[in-house]
Amino acid sequence: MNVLIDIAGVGVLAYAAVTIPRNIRKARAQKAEEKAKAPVTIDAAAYGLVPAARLDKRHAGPDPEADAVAAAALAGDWRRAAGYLANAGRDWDLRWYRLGILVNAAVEDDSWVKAWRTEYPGDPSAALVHADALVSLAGEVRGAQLAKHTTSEQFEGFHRLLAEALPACREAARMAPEDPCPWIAQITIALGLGWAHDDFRALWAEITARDPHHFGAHVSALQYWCAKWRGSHELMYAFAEQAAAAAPPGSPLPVLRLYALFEHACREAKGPVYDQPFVDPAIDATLDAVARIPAGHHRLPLVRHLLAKMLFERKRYAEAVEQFRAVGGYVGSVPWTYSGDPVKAFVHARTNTFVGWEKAGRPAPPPRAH
Amino acid sequence: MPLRPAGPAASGPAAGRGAPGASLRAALALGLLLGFYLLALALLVAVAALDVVLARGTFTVVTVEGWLGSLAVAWCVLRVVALGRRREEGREGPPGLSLTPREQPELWEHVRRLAERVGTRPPAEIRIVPGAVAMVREDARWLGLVPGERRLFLGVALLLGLPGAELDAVLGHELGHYAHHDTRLGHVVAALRGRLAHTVGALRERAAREEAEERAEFAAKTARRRAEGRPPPLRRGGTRGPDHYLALVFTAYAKLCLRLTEAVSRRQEYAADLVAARIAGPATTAAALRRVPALEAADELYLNQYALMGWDAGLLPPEGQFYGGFALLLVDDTRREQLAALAREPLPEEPGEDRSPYASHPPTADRIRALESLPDDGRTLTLVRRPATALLRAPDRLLAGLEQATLSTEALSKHRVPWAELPWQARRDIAARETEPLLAAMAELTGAPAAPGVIALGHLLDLLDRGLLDELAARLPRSERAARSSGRAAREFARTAFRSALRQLALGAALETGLCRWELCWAGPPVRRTAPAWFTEDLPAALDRAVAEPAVTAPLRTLLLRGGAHGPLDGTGPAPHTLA
Repeated sequence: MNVLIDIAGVGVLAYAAVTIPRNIRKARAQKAEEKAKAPVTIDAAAYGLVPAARLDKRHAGPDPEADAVAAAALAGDWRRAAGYLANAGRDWDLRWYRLGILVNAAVEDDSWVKAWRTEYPGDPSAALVHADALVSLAGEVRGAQLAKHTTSEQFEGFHRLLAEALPACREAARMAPEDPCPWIAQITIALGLGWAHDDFRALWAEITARDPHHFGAHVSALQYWCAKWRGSHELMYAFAEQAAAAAPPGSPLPVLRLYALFEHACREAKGPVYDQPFVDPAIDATLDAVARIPAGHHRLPLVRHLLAKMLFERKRYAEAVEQFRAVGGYVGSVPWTYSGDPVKAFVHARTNTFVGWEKAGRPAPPPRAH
Repeated sequence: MPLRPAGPAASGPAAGRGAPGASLRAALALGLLLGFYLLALALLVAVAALDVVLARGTFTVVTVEGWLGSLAVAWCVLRVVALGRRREEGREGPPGLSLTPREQPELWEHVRRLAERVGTRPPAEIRIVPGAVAMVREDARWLGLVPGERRLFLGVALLLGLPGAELDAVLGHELGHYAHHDTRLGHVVAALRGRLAHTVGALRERAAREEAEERAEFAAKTARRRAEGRPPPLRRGGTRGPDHYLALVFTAYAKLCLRLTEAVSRRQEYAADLVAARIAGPATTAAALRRVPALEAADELYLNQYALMGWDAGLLPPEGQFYGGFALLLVDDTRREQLAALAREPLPEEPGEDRSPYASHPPTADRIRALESLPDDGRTLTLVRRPATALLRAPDRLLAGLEQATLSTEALSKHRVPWAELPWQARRDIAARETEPLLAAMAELTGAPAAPGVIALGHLLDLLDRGLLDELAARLPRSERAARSSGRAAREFARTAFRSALRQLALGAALETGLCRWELCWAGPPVRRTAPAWFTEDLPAALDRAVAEPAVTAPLRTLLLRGGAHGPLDGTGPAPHTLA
């Protein structure tokens, strides 16, 4: 019997000899993993930043005039909206930007657009707001999820509204032959209805004939050339590169390269997308462009948000700190809005930027040669 | 003179009582079955021995723990043995309609004659069951050593679908399972297989359930801790209960047994095939082997697509036709060709290594090859096909009785309608249910109740003309996504829901006026909608116009009027003649 007990004892010892070190190793690894996962926090106020709780989720940057116009429109004052749009003049990109503000309001409630159109049935701007609001409403009904998470009810409404929007856009274009905006609005229709490349290029020709370096149009068209819609990574990069290279000085278009890069990274979350050799030069070109854009330009916030994200990804913390400080307490912009929780995505990038910058000893950004 | 198949089956499936090693293998099976109990016993003994060892040592907490642990293991082992006992209903066999010799003298006489030719005791019960199956069962006791009552289960699809000669082959095969005395111990094999499969299945199920419970508990704990603001608990490798380890032991044993008894089990099938060949001829038997799987597939298709067509609408085919309608499917020329093609298809060849050790039947291809290698007995495939139903007296009553015996009370309470009316009655019912919310919304708005049909559609279009679309649409039930939307998007969701309800109503009206028809089609697909091409093409656009802002109902009215509807749709004439 003693023999049996000995055997059992040896067995227990052997078991212990194997399992105890293994469990210790496991526990260590788990601790390390948890430590890595634990959120890094910084005192935002100490750096002069807006704390996470007070970040503005709806806007990319401050624009009090736009807010006031939208509120007035929803209150029924369409004349102010009409004036706001008209004041953009022949700066077609500014007109497109302001149209976006009005369309957001019209998607919520379009009674003011109806009133406007009833009073001035021939007003091309009113027709444009109506048409682009239909496109936006279609997107709203569809939702921003991938096709597999979208119900057939959503698709049905989406397609019905797009079918309604197309003739509306064409009517608006007929009323204002010089304005590229009714054509740019059709880019989203082309996305949703899956236009063939040739049809899309014909549409694009109409737009560039009216304004060859229209920022909003390029951002929209980049979506068409994305792999997730009707293009591919190659087509998307080629489009962005062509637009950025041809952009006149002072245009924010060089940021299109970064936009494309971000689309690529979203598609391949695990791939070494940000390590491609052209990334740093693309960032530098965008920084140069930013230096030439006048302060208060309506596209500046979007450009800075993308720059901040890319600089953070490239660990160029000193320059990223500058951009994060410049964007302030606004989160409502690409790239953050692509995330399920934009505030979280923004705060993560911002915090780690400042931590990295602090670790490096708060270096000053390298000087830019102009 | 026992028949000896040549070819690939020659070495294994030697039939007849004289085959050397047959009893040996049967004895092996018996030994393995006993081994099942021995294994359980050995586990118990091992646990007990451990307890004794523990008792010898100094008495500590560990001793008590050990005793408790061993009790748990012993309990599990005992439960496994108990689990091995299959439930009584399993022994009863599938539910069906028992036929007395008084009711069906011809069938009974036929089976008795066949049993005589096979040289075995006839069954004491003949039971008709649903499906395309045939089996014999013997309620043998004492590990199958003492013979018991024999039952013959015969699938109704075989009775309806097999020619008489092939049914003889099937019956011959089943009766052949009893023909040889050396297969008596084959019951032991069957019992062993059944018991092991059941035990392992039950153990695995319990282990899986335990693991799922543990996982659920862990998830609940994590959620609780998260709610309290603490970090989630450390995830440990799932601890598995004794059932898991017992399942491992018994699975290993089961695999061993199945491999060892495979040959016995398969040889039984070959031997039974030889009996069938003696009764019905090798060619007919091979034909039956090919036809049965095809009938099985056809029967499944028939039940799902035809017999249950009106289930959701609370409708079934006429009495006796729930199973009996299969005969209607079988006489359709297209289906007959499909079935013949299915039976002609080359059978899947199973390479030796991939053969499942769990399959009790050899691959059909091998069985057919064995049959084809038999000397031709001069009987060729009878081309004159006397259906098996000829053996039955009053088949309609039998089919009705089978429904009573096998269908659930829910099924039996369904309304019976003739085959020709089943598709459109079912369709009308579904359409009515889908348009119900819309009609309710109309009633709410106008204060007058509305019934589905042309009249209601006319009223609805009048409401649309009055610009009440949004009021109507807002009263329809909303999907989850729609409920989360607001403003114009919510209105668009409501409009989408409204359009699909309107489409149903319009289709219902088209059905009512005879513009569209839903017809039963035995050649498949089961329901054919016949509508004029212009109707199908123009309907979507007409619906779009009707739900646009402002609503334009004229295209939809014209579309339905063109089909011959008068009255409410143009707002003038009398109520239309309704077919429903």
